Amino acid sequence: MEALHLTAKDFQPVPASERNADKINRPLSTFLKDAVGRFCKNKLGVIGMIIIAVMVLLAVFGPMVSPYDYDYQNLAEMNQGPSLAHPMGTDAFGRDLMVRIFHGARISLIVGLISAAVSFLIGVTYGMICGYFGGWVDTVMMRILEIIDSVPQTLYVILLMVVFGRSMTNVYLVIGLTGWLGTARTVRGEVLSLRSREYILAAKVSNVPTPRLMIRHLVTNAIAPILVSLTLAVPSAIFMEAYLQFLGLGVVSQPSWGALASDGLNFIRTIPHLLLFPSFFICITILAFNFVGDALRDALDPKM
Amino acid sequence: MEQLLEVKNLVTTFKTKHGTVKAVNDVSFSLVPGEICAIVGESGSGKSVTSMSILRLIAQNGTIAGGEILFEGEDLLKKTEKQMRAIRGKDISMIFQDPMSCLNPVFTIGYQLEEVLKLHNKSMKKAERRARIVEMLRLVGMSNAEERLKQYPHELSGGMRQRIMIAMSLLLNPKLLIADEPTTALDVTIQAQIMDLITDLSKRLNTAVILITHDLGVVAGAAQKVIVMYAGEIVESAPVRELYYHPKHPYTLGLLKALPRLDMEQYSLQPMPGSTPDLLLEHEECPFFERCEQAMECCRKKPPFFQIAENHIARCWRYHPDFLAYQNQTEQEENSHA
Amino acid sequence: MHEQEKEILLSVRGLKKYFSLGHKKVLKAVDDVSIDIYKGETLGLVGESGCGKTTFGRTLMRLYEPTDGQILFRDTDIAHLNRKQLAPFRKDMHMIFQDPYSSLDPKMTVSEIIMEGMESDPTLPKKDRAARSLELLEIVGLNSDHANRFPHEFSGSQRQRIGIARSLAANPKFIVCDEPISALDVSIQAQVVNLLKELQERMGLTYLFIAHDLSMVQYISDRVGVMYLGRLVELATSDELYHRPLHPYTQALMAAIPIPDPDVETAKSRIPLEGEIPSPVNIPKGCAFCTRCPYATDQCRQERPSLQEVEPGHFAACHLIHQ
Repeated sequence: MEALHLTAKDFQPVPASERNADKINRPLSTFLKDAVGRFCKNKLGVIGMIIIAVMVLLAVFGPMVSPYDYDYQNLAEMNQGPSLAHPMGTDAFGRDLMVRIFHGARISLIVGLISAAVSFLIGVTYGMICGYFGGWVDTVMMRILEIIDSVPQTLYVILLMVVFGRSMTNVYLVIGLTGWLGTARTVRGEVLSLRSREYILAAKVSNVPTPRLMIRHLVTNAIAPILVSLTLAVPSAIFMEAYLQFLGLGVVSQPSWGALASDGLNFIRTIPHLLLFPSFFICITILAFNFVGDALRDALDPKM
Repeated sequence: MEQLLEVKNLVTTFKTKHGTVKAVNDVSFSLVPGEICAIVGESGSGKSVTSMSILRLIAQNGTIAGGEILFEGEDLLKKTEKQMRAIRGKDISMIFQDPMSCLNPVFTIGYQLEEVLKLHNKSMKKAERRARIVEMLRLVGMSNAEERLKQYPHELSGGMRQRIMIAMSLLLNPKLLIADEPTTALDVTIQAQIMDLITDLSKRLNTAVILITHDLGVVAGAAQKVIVMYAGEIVESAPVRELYYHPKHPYTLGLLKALPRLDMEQYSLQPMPGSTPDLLLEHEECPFFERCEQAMECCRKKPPFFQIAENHIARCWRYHPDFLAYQNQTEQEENSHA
Repeated sequence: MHEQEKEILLSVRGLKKYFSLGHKKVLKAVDDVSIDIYKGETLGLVGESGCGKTTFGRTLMRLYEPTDGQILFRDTDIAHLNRKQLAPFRKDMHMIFQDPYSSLDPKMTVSEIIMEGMESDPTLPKKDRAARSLELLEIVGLNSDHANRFPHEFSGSQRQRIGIARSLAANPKFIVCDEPISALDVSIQAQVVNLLKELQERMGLTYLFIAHDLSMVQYISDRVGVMYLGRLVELATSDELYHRPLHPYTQALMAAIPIPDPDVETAKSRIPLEGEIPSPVNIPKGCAFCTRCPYATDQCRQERPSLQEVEPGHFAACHLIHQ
């Protein structure tokens, strides 16, 4: 170091314009981009996503492409095993099982999505009000929630279905109306921790109306757990619908996966594929949604 | 005097998902017994990591990538984990910013203090341990020590907890105490009490102290030697009066000018522009280059240390002999022109 | 501050804010504080943690409902107005927060954050708001390229400057600065404080500057109030307070503040305050400071001293001074 010689040239001042003390070095990255990146690294999540995409495609195009109709009965081809003409075999009325499963996918997925959306709306609103207002509002609303929660969901669903009567709309509504408790709890917890943030105070000082404040600051910042609980609500709704069908409380005219499995149960000893194929689809779809839910949680909330 | 601790060219790195961060870069300093040495720096300057490296207590994703840490002549980096455990607490102990996080909330103060003695000194009898603990608590200025032993951490105030931590860290008569921001979480009036306690005990027990802080005010009254760190490097090191009255590095100068002074009237603060550099990026230039008002062309290269006086070094090209000569020359030229 | 024409902007009378903790416990965070804030001045408010200074600021902003007392602003008592009645006053007052990390919504861009500050002024046309947010960014020393970035890309002082830009968005007259520098590094605190000073001169703002760092408060403020356990114990101009602190607590606080000068610091004879700050749930009877005061008498333990003008402009709440 001692040998180092410096000359007058080295001592010329560098003007402040060449030095940028306030520059931002970090690469521009948005929360969304980061989250998508993290999600794509999760193998199970990606597999789940692919399975869900395939299911949706099958549900939309399957029945169109298939040469059979879901309620076309061909008594000559009763109770067949898998073959080229009927890859999943036929049922007791000679109906092609594959097209029935594809059609069932439509019903099951729609039930899942709509019920999840209904419970999402109720749950987010309920949890938001509890968490934001706190105090006695929170105490009363949480006690109500706990009372509802103390009776099993299945019991409500059965009761409501008996009262409202069996129809597809009622299935969506009933599952949605009973499935929001978990979402409400998650949202409340999240909002409780968010509401003391100073940006909420800043919004209040700026006279931002409360509903707008809730949507702008609370929903957007609690979006991670909300999305996760939404993803996890879909499979539980699918399962609940299948369960209803299995109990015989579903809508008979529609071959949802639950109905197919329920029918298949009668022939479990003779033609087991009638039970196996629908159950397989139920399983794999629920699994896929759960994978996606887990991957979303990891991607959106790197702390956990 | 014989050195108690000698840190030589210490480098500590952390792996993060954005890349490797050199949190401590080529840090060297030494300490004699009974000396209070302050390491001053802002958040991210590497002052805490330096102290944690001495105890080899850095986080999972960190490694001590180079250097030596000689404690009483022996390199701590070559010790096994078991040997280190015997050293921690007994020869070198530490107090932290937040005493609550170091005390276990489910055990009484007395139990936790006794545990320390039991671990390091198995032959000690129960009565002896009690006596030692009560003596220590008296020393840190806790009234009715016997009663305190039965209390739980949450029953005590922040200042009291910090006193307990100091008592605990001094129970085994360590030769070196590392105090990492010991008063940052406390109120000013309590801060004064705790700082007085630390300096007083250091004198009485001849314990060397490494005081890590961001507060130049606290340092002024306590330390004998001050090391200023910036962006993982030491930028200046000097005895305390030398540093405050003849600061050399532009960062130290700027820091002192940006501090409000209660004892002065009608002055204006001169803010330092910008903010601390991003350690993720490899810097070729002097780390203070971007913010330095005296930056020169040669500052695009990292400067070495220059000796300014005995025990006073600064890492800035302005103290290169050639620059001093150049400065003299230009001054003379200006004078002759005038 | 010119002595002749002191116009009162905001007048606080007997403000109380109690929080109920259940089990009949009451936290008296702000207990009977009266203070006038003059137009164009910076009023500093210091005290240790738990002394109620932040609660005081937030209650002034009506983020909390006051338990009792008056806040007179523009000849109206705003202390008990409801949301709707309060709306026209919102645009005249804003706030700068302590933590630059939690005071900016991480999901909003810088210009969205600043534009939110304009919502208290409905007269400001929506189409002009984006342009105004860029203008404000320049005013606080950032540039307009920063407008579409998110808060996490900025350093602490830059974030605090964004917070300042937001507080200026609706052209307020009065700003509560709630520990605006205590979360920042030492080398950049002066940046923010000097910016605040500059903005005050330029826009004629009035500040309530809340901090625990007395030396910074002393530097920026015209007058300084000292709080202890929810009460205002002393109020004076900042020079007067430093040279002649009257209340024993102020004296101890002054002595405890470390000065970055080894000679001053070693020569200083400290009167160390004994004991700890009592819990604000359990404030001592009489003078709140009597448990730690070296001069406390029986009177101090029985009777609460009121804030009295000892000299013109210098107020203190202590029995010993009044005698």
